[in-house]
Amino acid sequence: MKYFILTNNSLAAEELGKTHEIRFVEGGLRDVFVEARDLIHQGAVLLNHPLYGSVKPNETPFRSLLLHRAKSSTEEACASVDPESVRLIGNAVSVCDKFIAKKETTDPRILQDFQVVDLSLLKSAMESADR
Amino acid sequence: MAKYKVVHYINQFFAGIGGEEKADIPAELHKGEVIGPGMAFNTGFGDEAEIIATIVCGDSYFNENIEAVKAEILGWVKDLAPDLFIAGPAFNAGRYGVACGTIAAAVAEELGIKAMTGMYVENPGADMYKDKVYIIETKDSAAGMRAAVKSMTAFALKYLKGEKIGASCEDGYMNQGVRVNFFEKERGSKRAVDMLLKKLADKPFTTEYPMPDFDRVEPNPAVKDMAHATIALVTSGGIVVKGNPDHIESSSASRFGEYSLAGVYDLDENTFETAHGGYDPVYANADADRVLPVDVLRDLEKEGVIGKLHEKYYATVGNGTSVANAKGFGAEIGKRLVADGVDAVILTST
Amino acid sequence: MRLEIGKINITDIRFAEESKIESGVLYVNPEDLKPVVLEDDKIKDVCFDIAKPGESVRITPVKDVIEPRVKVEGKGGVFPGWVSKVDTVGSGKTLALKGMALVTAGKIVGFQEGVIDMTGPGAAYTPFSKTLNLVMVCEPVEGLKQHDYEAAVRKAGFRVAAKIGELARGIEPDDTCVYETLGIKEGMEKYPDLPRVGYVSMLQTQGLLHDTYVYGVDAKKIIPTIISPTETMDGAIVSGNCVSACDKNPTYIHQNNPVIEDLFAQHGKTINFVCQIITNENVYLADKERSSNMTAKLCRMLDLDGIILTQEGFGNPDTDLIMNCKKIEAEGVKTVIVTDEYAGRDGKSQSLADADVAADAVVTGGNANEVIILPKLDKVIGTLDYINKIAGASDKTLREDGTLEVELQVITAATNEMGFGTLSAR
Repeated sequence: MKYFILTNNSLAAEELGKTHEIRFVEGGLRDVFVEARDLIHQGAVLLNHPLYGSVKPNETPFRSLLLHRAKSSTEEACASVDPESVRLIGNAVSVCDKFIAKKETTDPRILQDFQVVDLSLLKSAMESADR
Repeated sequence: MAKYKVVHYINQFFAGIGGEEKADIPAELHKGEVIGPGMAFNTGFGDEAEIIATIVCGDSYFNENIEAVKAEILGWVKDLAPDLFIAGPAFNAGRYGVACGTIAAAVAEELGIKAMTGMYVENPGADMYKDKVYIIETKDSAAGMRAAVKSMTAFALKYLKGEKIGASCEDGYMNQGVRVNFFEKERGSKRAVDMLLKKLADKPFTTEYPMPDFDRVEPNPAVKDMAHATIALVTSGGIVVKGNPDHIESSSASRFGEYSLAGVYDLDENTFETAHGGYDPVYANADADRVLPVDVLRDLEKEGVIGKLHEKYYATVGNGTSVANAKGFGAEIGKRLVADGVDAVILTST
Repeated sequence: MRLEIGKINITDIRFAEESKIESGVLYVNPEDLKPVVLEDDKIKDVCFDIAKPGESVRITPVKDVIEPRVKVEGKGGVFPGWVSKVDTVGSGKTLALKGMALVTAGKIVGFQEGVIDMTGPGAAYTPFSKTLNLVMVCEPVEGLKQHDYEAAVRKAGFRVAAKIGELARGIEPDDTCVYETLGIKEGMEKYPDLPRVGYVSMLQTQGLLHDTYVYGVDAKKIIPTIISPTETMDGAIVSGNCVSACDKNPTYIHQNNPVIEDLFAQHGKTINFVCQIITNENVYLADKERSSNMTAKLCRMLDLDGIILTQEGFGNPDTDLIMNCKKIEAEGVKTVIVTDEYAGRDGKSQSLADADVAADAVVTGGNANEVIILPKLDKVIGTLDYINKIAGASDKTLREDGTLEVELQVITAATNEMGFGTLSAR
């Protein structure tokens, strides 16, 4: 399955950047969801569940999504928006908004742990996509 | 310790004044009197609480003069300054239930005094007020008075003493749409097995988490020939003709409007505005096309992408509007669109 | 398959010169256990501690909880694929140390969690406040990667549990329970009039600290399959997950799976308990589709009349839960689901991230977002350093007076989705 990775996790970008197409998002977890939502409305298809992992959206600042490439022209793409992707990403944004914002973690060791877990969950999706 | 003070509200029937023929009596305040079901409450309260006044009002009178009678009763209750206000129980009496819910909710909300009522689950007052005030579930007729008084008294004392109110099923009140934790007697797996045994035997069972009611609608097949289709615009974003001639409410709308688009090619701030109270109206008022895209549809009309834009559009305000009202509007608007030969509709929200 | 579980009631745990079980007391010499842990060169050191019900002790962060068991008759050994070979377990006789648990604790990642309070208001929410706990905290070698550390601690837990379980060999159990499932044809002939019931358990399978293993296999790589519920009792399913600890299944809860126990209680009376079906909760959407198709198909092929479906976790597993429920119901198999809720601190939000009308019979383990204040306790086993970072904790968590303001999320097994506890919500 041909896909690209939409992520704000620099560890994922570093580790996978040479071998995979990365679209890096500057921003928080919600920004990744919103960017994904825009891409989905242009025809991209979500391959992993946006609410993967047990670390809640208000805890980890990182998110990495696997998306199947959109059709080339916008018009064509709009004609084939994947309703399930739209539903999942919409739900994900609302779940994100439901959890109370917490103080942002600044401890670099913990941020690194969040990145490692995020990368691990991403890789588990890639394993499925690559086989 | 001093007894807690309770004010009790009942209708003309339970006050022993009369039935339907007396339903038009205005509200009366009986200070120091305990009337009808109040006697049983007082007995139940023992030496912990007592009824210090009873308010009696005819059901028709209450429902026909809601604002005035509410203000009058609130004034009395404010002066009496009780620890608790109890209305009913109303069982399945519709207007009585609505009155109990209305006045108990008003006492709680406007006076900040603890308030509760009791009624049958299908009483229309239950649906209207169960998320605003504690409503104890009762039987559907006055034959259930003893049980109703017993459970209402138990709840009242707990509530008066400031004890933690548990989950709805524990303390016998109607679920307020808020999830509350509590410890069941049986563990979850046992409850699941018991539920499955009932489901397998086609016996009634009660789910612990009712799924939200999505009311999903299957979309119609796609319009094949857009170039000859008549397209209508319908919005819940509140776009109305300037001045809001139909007085569509800014929230909890009770009506929708039908407006002409004949000769309209672009909505501007002099002719259209939003009636919606749930979002910042600045951008919608400056250019209502942002909510109701008439300009773009006129372009498409000109380019021949669509046949034509329907000459009327429909608008309401989606802000807190009840599902029942929204369904009603939808059905009526749909009927009119079909009658006008519209092929497809673009629905816009906010 | 027929399995006898011999229960040995443990009434106390004490450190002693000689490791043994005598008159219900487990005597442990940590020096006997240390080499078992340190045989993995990724672990530098380990310390043991004991926490008893009612003591002013907090254990955190908890990684896994394990019940020591030993297989004394029949094929294979406990925790197949880890400490024993992969022989099929689930028949013969197994001895279990009841009333106690081995708890593995210690920080693997900085935001980890899992709280067991042995006293106070938090104790009511975790089943492990009622067990005598032997706690094991491992220290990794310098520079060990999180993945390797997780695996090392996980496996060390099974080895130590097995070692303690061995002490029970030869001891007469206080009580014995027999569990037996029959072959498909055999069961139909024996109980022709009873409804055929299965148990579908969803296992969390997503990546680091989010995994579950079956006979040593990472369950995200399986397609749904059937196993005998007695295999689960012998440790065929083990936990590798602990993030958001309230609704993760420690190995102990797999071993003592409450749905299996309660279905067995009805087996041969009101139902014919046919088998357990295990499925996964992968992050990849096509995997979710495939797995739920398979579970529904298995339910149909086994001609089940009804099933209980249990979940593990929140968020994307809600999608698996609803897919499974919808598809299984669509096969005409009556389904009851066990889940928990994330309805927000005020209880007003939508409880699940996914929903469907087919899920008309739901048992809930309660709202995991509900806030609880945990008092300061005298002793902490593990570390409080990271409690601010754990799921369900916020910047206000560690309050000035030393109390903790947290969501139930952080408490191990508080809202367990196999129905292990009595917590619920309305």
